[in-house]
Amino acid sequence: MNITRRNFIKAQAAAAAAAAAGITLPSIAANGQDLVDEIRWDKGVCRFCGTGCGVLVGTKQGKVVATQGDPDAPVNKGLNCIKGYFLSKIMYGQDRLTKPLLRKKGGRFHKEGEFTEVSWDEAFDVMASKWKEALKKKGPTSVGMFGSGQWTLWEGYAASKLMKAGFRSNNLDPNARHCMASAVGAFMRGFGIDEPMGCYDDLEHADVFVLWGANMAEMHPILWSRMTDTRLTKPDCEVHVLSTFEHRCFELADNGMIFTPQTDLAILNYIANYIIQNKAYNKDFIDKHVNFNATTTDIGYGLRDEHPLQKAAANPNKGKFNKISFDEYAKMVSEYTLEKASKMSGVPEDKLERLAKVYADPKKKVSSYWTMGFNQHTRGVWVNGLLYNVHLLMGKISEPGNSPFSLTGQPSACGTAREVGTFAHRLPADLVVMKEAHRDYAEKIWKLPKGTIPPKPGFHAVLQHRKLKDGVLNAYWVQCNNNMQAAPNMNEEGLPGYRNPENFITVSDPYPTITAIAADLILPTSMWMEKEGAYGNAERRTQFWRQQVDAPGESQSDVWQVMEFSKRFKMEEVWPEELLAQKPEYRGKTMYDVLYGNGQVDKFKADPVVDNAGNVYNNTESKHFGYYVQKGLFEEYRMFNSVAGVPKKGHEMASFDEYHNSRGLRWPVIDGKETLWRYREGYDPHVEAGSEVQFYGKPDKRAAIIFAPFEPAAESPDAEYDLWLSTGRVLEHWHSGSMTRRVPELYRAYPDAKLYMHPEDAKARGLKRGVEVMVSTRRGEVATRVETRGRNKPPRGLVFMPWFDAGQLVNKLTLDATDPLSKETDFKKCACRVEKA
Amino acid sequence: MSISSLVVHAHPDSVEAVQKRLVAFEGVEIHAVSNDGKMVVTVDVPDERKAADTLLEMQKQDGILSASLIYNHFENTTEPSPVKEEQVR
Repeated sequence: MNITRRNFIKAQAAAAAAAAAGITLPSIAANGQDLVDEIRWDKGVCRFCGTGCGVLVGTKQGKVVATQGDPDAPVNKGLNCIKGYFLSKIMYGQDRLTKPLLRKKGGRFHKEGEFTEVSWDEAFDVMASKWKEALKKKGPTSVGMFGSGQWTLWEGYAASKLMKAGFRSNNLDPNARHCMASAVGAFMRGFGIDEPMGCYDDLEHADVFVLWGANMAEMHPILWSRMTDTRLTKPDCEVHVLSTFEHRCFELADNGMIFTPQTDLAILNYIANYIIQNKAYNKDFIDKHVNFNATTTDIGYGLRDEHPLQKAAANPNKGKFNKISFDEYAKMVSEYTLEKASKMSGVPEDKLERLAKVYADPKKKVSSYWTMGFNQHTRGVWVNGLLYNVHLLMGKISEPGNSPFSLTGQPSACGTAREVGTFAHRLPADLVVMKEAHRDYAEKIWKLPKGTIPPKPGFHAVLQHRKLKDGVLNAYWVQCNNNMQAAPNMNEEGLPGYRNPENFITVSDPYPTITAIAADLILPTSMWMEKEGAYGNAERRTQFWRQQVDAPGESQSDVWQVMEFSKRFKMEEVWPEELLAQKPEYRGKTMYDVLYGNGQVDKFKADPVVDNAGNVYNNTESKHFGYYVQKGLFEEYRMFNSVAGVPKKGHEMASFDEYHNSRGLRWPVIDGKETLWRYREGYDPHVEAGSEVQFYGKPDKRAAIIFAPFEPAAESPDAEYDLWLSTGRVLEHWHSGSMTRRVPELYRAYPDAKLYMHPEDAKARGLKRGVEVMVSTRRGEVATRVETRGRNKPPRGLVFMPWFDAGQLVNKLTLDATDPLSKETDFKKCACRVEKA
Repeated sequence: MSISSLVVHAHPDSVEAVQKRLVAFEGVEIHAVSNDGKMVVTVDVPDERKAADTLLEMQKQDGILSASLIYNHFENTTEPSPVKEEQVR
């Protein structure tokens, strides 16, 4: 290679890094631009976690060849984590699926047949006949869909319409149920509106950072690097880290705390108690903006109703909370003394007190971050709420630097799963199926007869697997996730459910995942830059991208599949006579005509997509359907959040075209302006002048402090199964590894899962580092290798195993105990045993 | 050929040690170091496989708080997909 060009590229690389780091380098040759190959660069969004980093996507000859951190993206300011670096490779795994595959024997579908290539027509013919058969036999509750926080906004929106309006089934749930549902539950209980009040700008504004069950260094590296910057440059800045095992965040921790699983409930109540005992609370804020409540206790563990733990509970699944006085609240937390919290949690008293003091210091701005440690918790809604209690007692909320912030695991868990409302009980913009006024509104926007949307919530994620196993849910479609690998208790629930002869399972995926090969029909699916997309990240930022390349073979996007499948049903096959009688003009029409050919979704012309530089982009869906599909779906969705008279204000979004021209905007977007901190005057235009703070999601505009006590985990170690088992992620892999394990470099960097264990625990079992072991629980066993060193250092009595490895399915071991309120599984706590294999 | 750049943030107590560890890698250059421990680093190696392994190995070094990738340029790719899956049926 030409040495001038090589030096130029290196200088350019260094200059980009220097700019991102805010460091000045000696100037470089300015006229070397023509030495670099013809690559078309366009803005995009990372495919992985919920941080929502902007990336520049480089395309050459129809292939994405490079990505780099987008210097203009406010989230990451040009930085990329190691996974982001390899983004360009996720679409090019060698085993990419390119044709529909149906299990066949003797030339026709057979549940025990071999996967055989079929046409889209044959695939949809067989699938539609199975769905029609289920509808005819058992009605709408026998069909269901499992979607994703990785769906683009319009994919989730189109699917929600298909299921809730078309098939009249609320059996639609996203994989975000495993990830965010507890956070959602606490937002709705505490504030009446979903999602964080603050934003990533708090990473520069706070004086103190507290991580509760979040390994940001590995799971949200870009946010971590912003926090690291603040910690090292701001005088007196502190970082407190709480976890059930030591991980990489502890390297920066000023106060690192390892606590016994489940005792976060006690620690948080102790902090509230400390604030009250020391009269540190913000009395003015409490008097004006907060009310006090206590929640129903002894609520069980979200297991099957016949499970002994469910039967033993006094108030299984009850979420009701009742108003109490401040004094009553103070009395309830008073039993959580420093001594008691320390004894329960195993955290030394001085460390706990140091933590309580920073929350109680009115001069220190505190930002708290959490992810799965809080959410995947059988008291997940409670524990989220207990942290809000602490922030609310101090009034440390909704202003720069004072921010309780729920981080997100998936790129659009907020945008698609939560805002679009693809949960079994939800409709767009925080509306719910249980409320008649909300159903009425959705039916009006969607031009449906009254009574179309069923009022009863459908089956949530874990219940879907139980209902598949029981043969109650029979026609099932999974898109954009790998739930066989991700869901708990695979041996007893997931796999028997998929392979139940009464059921027909369809999985749409780019790759032959564990979920796909457990199905009956696999549909090859376009991914990421092979379609026009939009994601909503954890700080309420909605971001768009254009289709950069075409998908391989016969792959089609999820939205194409949903809309095309809907053409195979006449309204008479999905709606009863009383609905059709209200809308006789829908007789003889297809679901496609009613849901998408409705004069709204098909309203915008399929003009060529052109960027400001004049580059022209393909749009496969618009070409196929003959109108601008993504724009039509998004603009109809906006009728739920951005027009006069919406049932719930505060979710306003900008127009479709504005997003294509911006690096994302944080909702509510009012008059083209985004909102950084919600509920506080001066930042949030919804707050009335003179009121300082209004939690306007609640009728009385007050946030709810809700007391909840410590209650034990569903399964704790005992004589037979003597160790806590916690599962989670590692830096190199994202979720089930279906993308990152197909990137050779990432695969090599971390090829197989292993079991992190304390050296003394290993020694006591006669085990050495690297030795093969069998991990077993009451539900199954998995072979793996012991790791006693490295990045994760569990305390004695706990082991940690990542779940990315399709060769070591750790969810054969986990228990399907869920938070009874959020229905989110506790993947962090069950009891296991480890023996030499 | 593969050229990439990173911002490496070292703990202020270990800036010198981290510099030593980084330049020990083949093809690694440090272009600048800020007062708070941030370094502008490039990796220039013959092929992408080598680049990736270097980047991933660098991440694991003691004293590094974060390592963020900024830019990469490469020519020739393709390496077989390595995934093996457990039999579920």
